Amino acid sequence: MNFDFSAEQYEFRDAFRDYLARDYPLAAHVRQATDYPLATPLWAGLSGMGLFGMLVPEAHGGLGLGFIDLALVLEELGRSLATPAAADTLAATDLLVRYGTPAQQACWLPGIASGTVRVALAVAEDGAGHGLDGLVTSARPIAGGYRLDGTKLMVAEAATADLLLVVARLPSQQQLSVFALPRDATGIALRPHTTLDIGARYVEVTLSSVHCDANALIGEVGAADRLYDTAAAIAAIELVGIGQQMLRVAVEYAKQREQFGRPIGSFQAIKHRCADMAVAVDAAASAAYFAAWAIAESPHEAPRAVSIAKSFCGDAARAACNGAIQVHGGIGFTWDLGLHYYLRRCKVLETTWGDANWHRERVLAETLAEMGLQAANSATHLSESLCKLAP
Amino acid sequence: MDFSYTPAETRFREELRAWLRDALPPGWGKTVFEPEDEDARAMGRLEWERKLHAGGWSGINWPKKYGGRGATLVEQGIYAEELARARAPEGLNIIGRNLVSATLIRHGTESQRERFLSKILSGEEVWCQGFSEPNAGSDLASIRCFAQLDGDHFVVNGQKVWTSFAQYANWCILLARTNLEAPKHKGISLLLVDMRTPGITLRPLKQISGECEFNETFLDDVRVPRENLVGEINEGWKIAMTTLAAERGAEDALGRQIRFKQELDTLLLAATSLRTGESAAIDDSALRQKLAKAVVEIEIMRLNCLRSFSRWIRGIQLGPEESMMKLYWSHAAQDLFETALEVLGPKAALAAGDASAVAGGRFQLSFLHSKAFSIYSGSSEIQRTIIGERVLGLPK
Repeated sequence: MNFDFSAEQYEFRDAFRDYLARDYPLAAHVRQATDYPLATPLWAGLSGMGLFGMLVPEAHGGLGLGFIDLALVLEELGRSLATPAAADTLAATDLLVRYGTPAQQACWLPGIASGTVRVALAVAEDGAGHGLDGLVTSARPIAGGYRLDGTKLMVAEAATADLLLVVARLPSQQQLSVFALPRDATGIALRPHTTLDIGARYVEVTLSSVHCDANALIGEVGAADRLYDTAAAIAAIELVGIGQQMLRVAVEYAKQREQFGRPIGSFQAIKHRCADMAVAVDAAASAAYFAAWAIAESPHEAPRAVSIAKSFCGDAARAACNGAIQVHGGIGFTWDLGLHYYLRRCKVLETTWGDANWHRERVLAETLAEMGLQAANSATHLSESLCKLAP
Repeated sequence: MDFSYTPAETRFREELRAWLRDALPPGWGKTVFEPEDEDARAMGRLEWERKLHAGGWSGINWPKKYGGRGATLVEQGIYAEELARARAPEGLNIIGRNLVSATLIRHGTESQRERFLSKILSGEEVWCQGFSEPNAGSDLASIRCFAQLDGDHFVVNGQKVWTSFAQYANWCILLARTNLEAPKHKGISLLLVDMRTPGITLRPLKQISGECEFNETFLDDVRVPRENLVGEINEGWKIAMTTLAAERGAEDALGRQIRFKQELDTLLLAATSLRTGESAAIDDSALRQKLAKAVVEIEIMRLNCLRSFSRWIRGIQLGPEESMMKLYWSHAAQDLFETALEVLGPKAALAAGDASAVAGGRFQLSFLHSKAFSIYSGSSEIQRTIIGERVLGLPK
């Protein structure tokens, strides 16, 4: 029993933390908003550090590591508001490693590992809510492959992606499947969104009769669910990184800023709020690390673990962003201080890959199913036995 | 990161589970429960501790030379889980087994260890804790209870409050002021007081649950032999703080977590069976969100414990981080019991003794008990100050 990371995993984390703090400070996000695309040097840097090869097996030019090895690095990506293209590419890598055929793996993994292939995930749709159940984008079998039609929302950095992973519904079995499409395939149109998160570009992707060959279909049953859970786990861990950063910034400011002749951090109103932020962010880390473990080692526990993490980490990170702005007072509300970049990214991560309410609902459904309990009419026989339970 | 257990740890768990199955009466925790009468319950708990001792399952983390098993941290975690899972009674001598023993093992003299440890382990001597006073609660270092050295004895005068189980205790671990001139943290000593000493008077205090677990303790010219001083004179504050840190730690929290989880499971059962016409409480989307939040928060309490255990194993000492664990669970558990009563709908107020009470009124009692979580062993406000100053480094 060991719920901790190894010395090597901490060292790896430190290397990324140092790199990101040195070469990708918050100021870069300010430039990114006006000087797009700035993600290129960051991509090359992350790729040079070996990020995109971590999950790729050695046979395909990667390091052959697992999702637990990635967890602390994802925290750093969250802390530094790194491009969501990195998160999407890593989720896609996990899917290809687990569900890809040898041919698909040979086709995509070496490029991913070397940083030459960027992936964008095209999943959410207008009117479909959270989760996969409401998706209507269709994949119709045609001679030698499929034809895809539909419109996807909030696809991160699709304009600079090389590959799109699209979740679509096959008509025959109503089953959701994942398709890998070159971004420049005929019939793919992009419309840039205007979003809260000005540190990244999100687009609407319209698929109009996009043809792909049979080899574009990744995996069979469960691939779409796996993709969604992995993306949600990554978002949860990135949210922990944001929460940690907001806590750190708030505490540093509370130590220095003086009012009434004392550092404001000496006042309980501030000190106790920071303590509550610390407790929430630390508990969020417990949940996120366990989700990372479940994704890596225990797929059957992953949906529940991911939902526990995504719901709690979103709430904790939001509270930390709000707390950091409040502790800073007026300066916290200024554009130039830049706390809003975190608040903005936090809101995107909170509301993509299932929001807290959606994940809580799934936690409860999974828990009741494990206990053999169901909603409503079938449970009458339990009430009698329940009344007999003494305190 | 690895959540598996070694074969030896699995054997430890199986051995303990088998022993518990034999040691507890059939139907325990399901149809057979602890007595409702407080004194009978206390005596039952003491009997249970003696049974644990006879089976070799008491003080497992103590060093072997004092009668323990020298259990590893992982084994301690397993122990807490299995006892809670079997719904085994809590002990009566919690102060003795956890606080006094840890204090004596770290700070006591060899003769104090020989005199006291084995009788704590066997359940022969029950301990209470004389720390808080009417004017020294959160500000514990302001205690006024005074111990005047008179030859080879201290003469103690003062009043203690919230003394849990004093009515059953043979001994008290007492904080007393021994220097009136020194700064308040530096004039306090820790004494071991025989509860039969003349001059000790108890008055029971009724709690909001209606129970009388704790007492006021009055000390009038109580003579305590000098050899019952723990550590150096005027060094009691530091020693007491290490014992309080143990009280807030992961081992304590892990056992509680499983008991909360059991309450939560019972609550989910209730939520699926409590009906309003055609639907059940579990069909209400607002209640579902709150129940799910409880599931999430109680599960994270377990994960926090396991992370803390792993830090100990890596050799990181108990410290102010334990305050984060305690602050987290006390509020998570209070929210759980608020949700519990909400789930019961119009039956929320029906308590133990009413024929229509849900689950025998257990949720109402737990709800009342839960109010203490954010007060005892350091109120949440004190924990937040500790976290702010000693974990985050904010100025005093």
